[in-house]
Amino acid sequence: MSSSSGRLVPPPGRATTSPLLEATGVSKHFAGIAALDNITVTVDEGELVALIGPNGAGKTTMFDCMSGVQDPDAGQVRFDGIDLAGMAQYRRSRLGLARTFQRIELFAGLTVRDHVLVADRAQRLHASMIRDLTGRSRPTSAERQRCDAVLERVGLMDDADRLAETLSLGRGRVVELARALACRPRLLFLDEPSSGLDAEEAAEMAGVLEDVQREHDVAIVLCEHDVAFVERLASRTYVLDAGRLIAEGPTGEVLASAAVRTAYLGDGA
Amino acid sequence: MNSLGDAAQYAVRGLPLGCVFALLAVGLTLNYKTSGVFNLAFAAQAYASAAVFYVLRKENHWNLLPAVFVAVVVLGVGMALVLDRTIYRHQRTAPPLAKLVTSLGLLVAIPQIVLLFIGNKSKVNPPPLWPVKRADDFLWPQSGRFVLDASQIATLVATAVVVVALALLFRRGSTGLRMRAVVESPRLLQLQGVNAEQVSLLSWILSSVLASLAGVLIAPLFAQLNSLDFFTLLVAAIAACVVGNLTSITGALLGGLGLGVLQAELAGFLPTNSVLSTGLRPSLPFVVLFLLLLFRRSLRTGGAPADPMSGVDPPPPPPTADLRPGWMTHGTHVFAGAVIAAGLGLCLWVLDDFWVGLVTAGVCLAVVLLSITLTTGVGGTISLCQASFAAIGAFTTARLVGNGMSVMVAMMLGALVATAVGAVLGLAVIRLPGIYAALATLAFAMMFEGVLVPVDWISGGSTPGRVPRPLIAGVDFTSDRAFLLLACAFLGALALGVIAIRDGTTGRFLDAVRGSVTAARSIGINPTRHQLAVFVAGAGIAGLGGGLLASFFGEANYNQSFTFFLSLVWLVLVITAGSRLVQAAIISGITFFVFPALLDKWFTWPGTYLASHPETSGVARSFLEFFNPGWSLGVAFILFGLGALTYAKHPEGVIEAQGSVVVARIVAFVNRRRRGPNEHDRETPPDVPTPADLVT
Repeated sequence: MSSSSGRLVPPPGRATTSPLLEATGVSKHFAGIAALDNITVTVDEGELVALIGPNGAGKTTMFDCMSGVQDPDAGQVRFDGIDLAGMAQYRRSRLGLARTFQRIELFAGLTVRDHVLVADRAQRLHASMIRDLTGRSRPTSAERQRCDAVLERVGLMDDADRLAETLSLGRGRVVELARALACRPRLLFLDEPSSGLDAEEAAEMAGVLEDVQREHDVAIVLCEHDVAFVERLASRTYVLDAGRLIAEGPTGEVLASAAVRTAYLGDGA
Repeated sequence: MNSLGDAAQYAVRGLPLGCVFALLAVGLTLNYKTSGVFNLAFAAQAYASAAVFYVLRKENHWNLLPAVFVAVVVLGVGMALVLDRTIYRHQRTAPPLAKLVTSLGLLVAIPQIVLLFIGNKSKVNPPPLWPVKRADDFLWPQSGRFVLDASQIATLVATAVVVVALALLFRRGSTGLRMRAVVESPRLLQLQGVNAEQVSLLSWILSSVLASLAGVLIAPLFAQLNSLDFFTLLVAAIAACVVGNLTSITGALLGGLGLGVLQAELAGFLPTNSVLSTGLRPSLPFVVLFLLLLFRRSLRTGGAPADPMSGVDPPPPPPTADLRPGWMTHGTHVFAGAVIAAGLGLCLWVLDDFWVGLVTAGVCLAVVLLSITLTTGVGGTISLCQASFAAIGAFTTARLVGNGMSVMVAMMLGALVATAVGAVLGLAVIRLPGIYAALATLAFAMMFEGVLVPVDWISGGSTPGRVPRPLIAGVDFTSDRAFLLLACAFLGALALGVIAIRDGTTGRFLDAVRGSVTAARSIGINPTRHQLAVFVAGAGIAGLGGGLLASFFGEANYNQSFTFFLSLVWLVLVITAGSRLVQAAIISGITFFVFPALLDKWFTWPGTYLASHPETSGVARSFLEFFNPGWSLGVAFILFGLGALTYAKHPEGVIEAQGSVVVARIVAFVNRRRRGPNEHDRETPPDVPTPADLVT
């Protein structure tokens, strides 16, 4: 909870002595096969970093290790100086980590607005039956305002009262983004936010992400297939291939490098 | 050295029983593997075949082979065909929960249907599957240390045959593979050019015949045929299934044998006449099941396989509350108030004592059922031990009242004790994935019944503890009508509480958890915490309801009011009516007591009519003579059980499903009126109006 004050107002002239997220020497094996071999990724406050690689490169595993779905076999993941190993997922969320899912995970039966309201409240309190029984569980005006602000920002106002499962895949991804933003994260993990979207929807999503990152001062880690999408958004990019880190650095340079072209297009390229 | 020899001897003695467990466990595992259903109705099918075998062999003196053919093959295949056509075929892609509820419904209904056919006369000494009349008519060897009787030999032989046959089926050829694939995704299998319907039917026939065979084989274990004994034995066999993680047939086989041997060892070594041997030994399988469920880590991670084709399902319909415009919500509330007032008025001034008593019992039961609304409807945990919580509340109340405490205070303390037990049990089971949590609570209910209920200090033994009606601040609630008002006050307060929790933050968080556990965690919700909270609160409510029931009946009588089987019936009732609605709990509670009495009245009427009109003859007479007042409870249970079959189609419950149809009609009607007569025939008015339509 101590971190929540820092999330709303960006610290003036942040002197980043240490990165926000620091994954060092992460390794993961499945039945003897090294899915990840000694990978190090760092993300600074307010930075947008992409994680790319061909299918089977291990980027989903790395993403899961960083966001807490899996624990690495070796190595460490520290968020704001706190070791995340073995920490329950809902606790990580309260530290300021939020995420979206590649196969969207919406709350069937809840409206879009409820998604945001639930996320907003879950960040601050555990449900208490005493509070429910004494009639103090209705959304407060502050909660409504914050909810409307998030919906406005991502452009979901028109769909606010629709049930989430009736929306298209593209809108569903936006709902996931809104839900994650309602957690007021310092670091946002986006798992293939453009997958399944057509070109127009992907461009729209990229636009929203640019705005969000600028205005909310949130760091974003992007796990992505779509190179154009990455090129537009990410300031730095890590490239994985067969469980190894084959390139890292500013996005433009990385995408142009020979190693990356080989990994993506094969030896003949 | 001597004790080692004894141990070996006991082990051999335990083998036949082990084979019984193994046969049931293998059948159940096979059923689960090839249909995705954890089919608790397996016990009911086994009972049906055992009953038919009994009637053919013992009452009609058929020869062994034709009797086996009819009872096992014809009936087994027949049941599979009927159930597949009418039920399973339509549920192939239903969620695991729907399938579990269906099997519970069948478990309640099938034995009663069987009883309608074979009559209520007790069936003693079931015959073995061997060409002799009684199991001990054939012994092998004739004398010695290890004598097997006919039924044990038949069990050993049958188990061996079944295991070899299944091994051949699943190791060779593609049938076994297809059967497993049809569970994962029938639609995907269809796309591969395989007839999924046929594969699925085949696997149902296979497991149904196995259930029939098991039923005929295990019947001689009991002195008398009783469907509940079959179910108890099945739950014991589930322990063996869990050894094999519900998927390994070899594991189920070894688990079953091991369980039989372990039980025989305990029988041999435990001192007789101690609590350990009278209470614990028969409950051993449930203890083992409970511990296995808690401590097998692999169960905790293994979720249900997700159908890769589930994305093609249409989204579920919106709940009635979303269709309903504001004015109608108020209208509904006024209507509900009027119905409640009319019902109360009817009870207080119109109905006679008999019916008032039934309604009052129903209202007390409705309090217990509210706990299901909270635990299952809001929390999403299937609990099969709510009757046990009610019993804990009732026993505590009786005990404290016996020590001179006031009834109301004792009831409250009873609720507290139930809450405490619920907290301990909940901590243990709430993390288990759905079906395992259900099984663990069932195992708890059976342990409770086997170990604690027989203890005199707890239940009062053969003379149940007395609980008088309360006296609060000089107001006497002894008369049924006064007690009805008291029970209604409790019910009303608790119902409002459950609604507040359901619609409050707790309910919202749990809605999110039901929508997606992963996503709920990712936004900071701790699912376990909230599920535990409602489970514990549910236990407390059930405990209070138990105290009320005991006070109404005047005693805390376990066998009459709280057996584990009632937990299943109540759950089926509430889920059928609508697990999230408090009105469903209330209606279910009253229905449980009033409906059988109504049926009784209807079934008795033809008899009384014939007695007073002896001149009736011909077709009319034989038609009226057909009705038998002895059926009423059985028919009620059949209808309760079959009602659960609607769950797969309407998981929101019958009330909600009917409600949304009615609401849609009313709204459409009002809209037509508002548009005016000229537009009356405008083509295709939207059949389900959206809220936006109603704003204008």
